[in-house]
Amino acid sequence: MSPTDTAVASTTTHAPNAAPAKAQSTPTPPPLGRRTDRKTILLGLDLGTNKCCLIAGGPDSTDIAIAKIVPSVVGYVKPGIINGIIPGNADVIFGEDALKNRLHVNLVHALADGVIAHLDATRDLMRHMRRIIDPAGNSEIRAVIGVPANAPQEARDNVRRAVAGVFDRVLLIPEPFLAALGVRDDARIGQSNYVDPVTNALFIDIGAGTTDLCLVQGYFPTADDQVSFAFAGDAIDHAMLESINQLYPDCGLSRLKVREIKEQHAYVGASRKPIDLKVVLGGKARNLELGDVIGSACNQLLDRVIDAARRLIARAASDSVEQLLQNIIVTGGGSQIRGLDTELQKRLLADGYENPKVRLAGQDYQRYVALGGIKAARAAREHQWQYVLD
Amino acid sequence: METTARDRMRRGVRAAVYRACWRRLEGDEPGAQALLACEVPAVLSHEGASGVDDELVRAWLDEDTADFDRAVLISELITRRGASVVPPTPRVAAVRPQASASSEERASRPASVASPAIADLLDGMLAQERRVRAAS
Repeated sequence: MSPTDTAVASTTTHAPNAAPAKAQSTPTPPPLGRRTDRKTILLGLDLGTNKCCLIAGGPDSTDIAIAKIVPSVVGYVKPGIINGIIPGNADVIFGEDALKNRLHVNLVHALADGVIAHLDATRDLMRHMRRIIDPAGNSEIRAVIGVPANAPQEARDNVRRAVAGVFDRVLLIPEPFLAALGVRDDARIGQSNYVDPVTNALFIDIGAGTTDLCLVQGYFPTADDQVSFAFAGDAIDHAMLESINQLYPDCGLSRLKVREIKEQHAYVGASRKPIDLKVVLGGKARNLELGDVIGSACNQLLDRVIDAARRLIARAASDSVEQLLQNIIVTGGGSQIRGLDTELQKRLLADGYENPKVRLAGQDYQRYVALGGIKAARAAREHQWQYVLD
Repeated sequence: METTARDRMRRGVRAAVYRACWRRLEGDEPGAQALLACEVPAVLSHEGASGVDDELVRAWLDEDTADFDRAVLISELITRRGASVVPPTPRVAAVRPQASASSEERASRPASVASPAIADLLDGMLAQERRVRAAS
């Protein structure tokens, strides 16, 4: 038997032999959980209705190896498309490629209202993400996947079905909680002037399909600490389109164009008209005034957010509310609506809440759920990871 | 090496690996590693480890760890299958355990000041999920 002098805590699976063979010496056991030579990649994944965000890295560092935002669409190429039109002449394309080539594909939106709407398309999208993260295809991938607050069991099961055979181990965690982890500044934890958002905060995550609110107060949020409703970015688009078609019946604006208008001009609060927009319809330029259309649609969202926030604040422990009101954080695409923070703060103040403070998560709003996911992945203990069965 | 001594060595290594895997399952990774580092050499030494090379012992460790993980997976499958096959017992009140604390309980829950460990929060999440599954 060969001796070893490698420390037991080493992560190497083959300890070097440092001396000539001696009788009666014992080998060093390899660390548990690393019994194969497969590399492990950790993934934080935000499965958004409009866009997915994936952030991946190794388990033993804080570095981010891959960060990518992929529109949640799959394009199945129509028959008869000539070579050279579709990238790589593929049969199935994803994300931006699918959107750019939407005339040549059957475009499938894999998710709707925050949950999986087309399971097969979602599986294809997950395989595509796997290829992004692990092109060679031989790493173990462990994924923390965000799910909407209070997602029904069927929605959670669909996520598992979509990733079975694609990812090796998973953890499904509510999105607002992951957003809290993502927003958390780890370097400032413990500083006297820093309130860790995981200890006492109200998170408002406004996505495309759902708006999720969550009380995060130092323990894992229960169902009562979370509110989710299916009025978010897509609903604003729908409301705008209805109003525009009433005002300008012949305009024929597409849903995609309305979304672009929203992303450029969305606001809440008092009317900001006029907002004049020149659009080209049927080859001709037309001027549309959409100030009230945009404001009215966005204010519908604000009303619902206020109502949900009131409900959650009422559920918080009374001695925690004062600090909680100082930590209302808005993230997701909806955080880009102009004036959302000040209007929300003003409405809470008008309701009689003491000194509320609302802040926006910032420019990285698209990444916080996935960022929280990879933080959770790095912190998860071995026994917490769940298998997904094919 | 005699077959009997080798069998004892093999059983000893397996027992040590299983005990370490239990610790790991309970969230004590450092404890699991320490146990393994202490007990496996002790077993091999006690049974006279000549004739058993490093590669073979590593293969035993890998095999036993895989067996344990497989057993955990089967246990989870059986639990899930059992939950879907056994008819639900009649409930007196449809209360989601611990998901709707009374206002008094919530008022008495102090606002947390210390930053909680993420892994501990995840344990709380998984415990909640188990309670919900058990109640449904």
